[in-house]
Amino acid sequence: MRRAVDHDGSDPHVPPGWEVNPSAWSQRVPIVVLAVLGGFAAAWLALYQQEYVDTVFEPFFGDGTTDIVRESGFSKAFERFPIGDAALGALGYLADAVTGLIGGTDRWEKMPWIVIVFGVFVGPFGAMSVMLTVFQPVLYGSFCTLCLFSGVVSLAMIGPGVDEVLASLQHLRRERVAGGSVWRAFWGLDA
Amino acid sequence: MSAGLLARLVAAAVGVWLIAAPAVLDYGGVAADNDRIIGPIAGAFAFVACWEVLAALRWATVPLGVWLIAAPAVLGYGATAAWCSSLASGVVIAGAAWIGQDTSGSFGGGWRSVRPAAWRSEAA
Repeated sequence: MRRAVDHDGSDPHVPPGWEVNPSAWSQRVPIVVLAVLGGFAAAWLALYQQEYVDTVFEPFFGDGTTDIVRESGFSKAFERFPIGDAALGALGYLADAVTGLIGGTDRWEKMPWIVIVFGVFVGPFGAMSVMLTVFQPVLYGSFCTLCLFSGVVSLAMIGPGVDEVLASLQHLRRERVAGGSVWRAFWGLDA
Repeated sequence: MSAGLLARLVAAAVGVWLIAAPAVLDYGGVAADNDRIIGPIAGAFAFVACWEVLAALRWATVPLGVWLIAAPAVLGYGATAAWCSSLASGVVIAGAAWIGQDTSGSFGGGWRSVRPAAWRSEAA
């Protein structure tokens, strides 16, 4: 997928050799919107799982959602912990949204630490959602609409999210090759 | 829409098909489990590779597609609907990776520019 190119050179924070600034708000806001949508789905599942609400959006798979978030061994395993798997998912989306919002349009260069933290939340989190999609039908023989929606949302965040990580890593590499401190550059401190 | 993006989306759609196929074609057992494991993984790689910065991830679908072609023989399900579905899906999922170009280099040199060796010299 091609992204809107900064043809007129109006953005001073486009990384060297890039056509777009991955930290521009136009690039980041859609990811935050996705995180909020995924967060709503996960929060609804969490409320249903903890039996705070008794209705859940499930137009396709009958008792699928009930089987998976209330009855499955995977979800029951979380009863030993203070937080359920659905609530953990909702927190993950919150972390995506918050780390996606912190910093300005030069954050790939001035705040690599938050970009890397954001990348860790977006990348492994998306991979985990695919694993859950695999577990659902194979282990429990049913599907859950909101879980699948949540999985697709997680995947859709990976592509637009990790380009910023690449820009930050390239910046750190340039600092290193120029003889500077990667550690100081990582925290956005002057070399 | 570029040919590469279309190929990625088709491969992702085939991944979704594999998740649904056991219910649609009414088969179970090891064939259903295999399709429901490989389908989401292959579909996810193809979908994420839609974004140019991660275009190289499309190559991860090749071994998965090859496995889908081999699986009926290896796991021993005969010439049934599941066999046809697995074979066709495997050909599409593996073949689609060759369509389109890798443009991740337009991102400041792409991921190659941050490979471990690149941190030690100006050669990168």
